[in-house]
Amino acid sequence: MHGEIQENIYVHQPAGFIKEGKENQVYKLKKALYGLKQARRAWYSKIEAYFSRAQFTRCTSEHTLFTKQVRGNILVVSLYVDDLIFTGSCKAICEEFKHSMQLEFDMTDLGKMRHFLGIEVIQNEAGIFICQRRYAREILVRFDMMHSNSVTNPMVPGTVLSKDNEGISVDATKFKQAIGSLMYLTVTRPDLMFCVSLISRYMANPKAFHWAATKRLLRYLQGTIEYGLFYKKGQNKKGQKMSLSTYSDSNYAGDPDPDDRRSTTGSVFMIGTTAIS
Amino acid sequence: MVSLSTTEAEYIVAAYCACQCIWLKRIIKHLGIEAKEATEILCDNSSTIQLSKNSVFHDRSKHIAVRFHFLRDLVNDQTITLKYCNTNEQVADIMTKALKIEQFEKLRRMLGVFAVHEISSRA
Repeated sequence: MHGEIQENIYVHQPAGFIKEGKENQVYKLKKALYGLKQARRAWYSKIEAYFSRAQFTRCTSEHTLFTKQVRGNILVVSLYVDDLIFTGSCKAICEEFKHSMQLEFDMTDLGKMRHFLGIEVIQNEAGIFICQRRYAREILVRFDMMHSNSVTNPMVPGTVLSKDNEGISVDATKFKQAIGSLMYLTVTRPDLMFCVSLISRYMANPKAFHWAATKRLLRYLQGTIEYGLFYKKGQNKKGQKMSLSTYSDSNYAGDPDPDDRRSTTGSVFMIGTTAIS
Repeated sequence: MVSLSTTEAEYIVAAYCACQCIWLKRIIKHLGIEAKEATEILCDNSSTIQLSKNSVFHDRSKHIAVRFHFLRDLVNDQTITLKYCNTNEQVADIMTKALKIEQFEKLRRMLGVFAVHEISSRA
C-alpha cells in the first residue's frame, strides 16, 4: 500500500534506525508511508494508473468502481482502499486479471468471497446472503447484552423520546459508542435504521430512558443476530431480470417529542426483491 | 426545513429519492445493464403523485421550493415515474416510524432481511 510521492518528505530517524555519528540528519522518503497526509492520494493514483493502463473504465459516479469489456464479457472491480473484490462473466478473464494484479502488486488471493469489510457473505444456488453476525455478537458482548432476554421488535410503537433535561444523565461516551457500532450494523440490517437514527438524535445529552431505548434495541438484536440481507438469484415478481425500484415515505411531524415535532423521511432502494440502500 | 403539509413532505422526500435514483441508475448502467423504462418510486400519497405531474392545487403548493420541482422534470422526461402504493405495502414505513410487530415483520421480510437458517433451508 505504498504509493509513489511527488513531494520531498523527510522523517526523523525512527528508533532502531539511528545512524551513529549522523544523529542530526533526517531520512528522505522514497515512497509514501502509512498515515502520511499524501498517502491516500498517492495510493489511489497508483492503483488508478494501473487500472487505466489495463484499459479499465472508471465509473463517473462512483470512483472506486472499475469495469472492463473484453470480447463481449464484462469484468467488474470494486475497490475499498487496499481491499478489492472482482467478478466477471467469464472465468478466463478473471484469472487473467488476477495474474496481472499479482505481478503488479503484492497481493494475496483469498478465493471466493466469504468476508468483506466485516460482512459475511454466503453464496449458494439460490442467491447471495450477506450478514454481520460476528460483528453483532461483538456488539452484544461489548455492551454486556449477550444474555439478555430477546424481544421481537426494536422499539415499542408509541415510545416517546424527548430531550428532557431533568432525567438522570448516563455515560455519554458509552452511549455514543453503542450508536456508532450499531450504525455500521445497519449496512446489512436496514430494519434497525429507524431506531438507530432516532436514538442518535439524543447523543449530545443522553438520559436514562435514551439508554433504555438503546438497550431494547440491543435486546431485539440479541434475538436476530443471524439476520441479514438475501439477494435472490433470478427474476423478480414482474419477470424482469434486474430492476431498480424505490419506495419513498415521510412521517409528517411524526416525532412525538413535544419540543421538536420534526418530520421523518425514509426511502428504500431495491434491486429485484431486496433492498440495496 | 419546514413543510406545511403531508403532501409537501412526501414531495420533498420523493425529490431526494429521485436524486439517489439517478446516481444508482448511472452505476448500474456502468455495469452494463441499462434500464429503458422509467424507475418507479412508490409513494403512499396520491396528491404528491398528482403534484409531480401537474401543478395542481396551486394555491396550496406554490410555496414549495423550486429545487424540489426537479422531480417534475424527471417525471416529464420519463426518467422516473411516481406510482401509488398502499400504506400497508409501503416498505419505507419501516424507516420512518416504530411499527407493530406483525407489520414490522412483514416489511422486514419485504426488505429481504432473513435469518441464516431460512436461507439454507431454501437452497
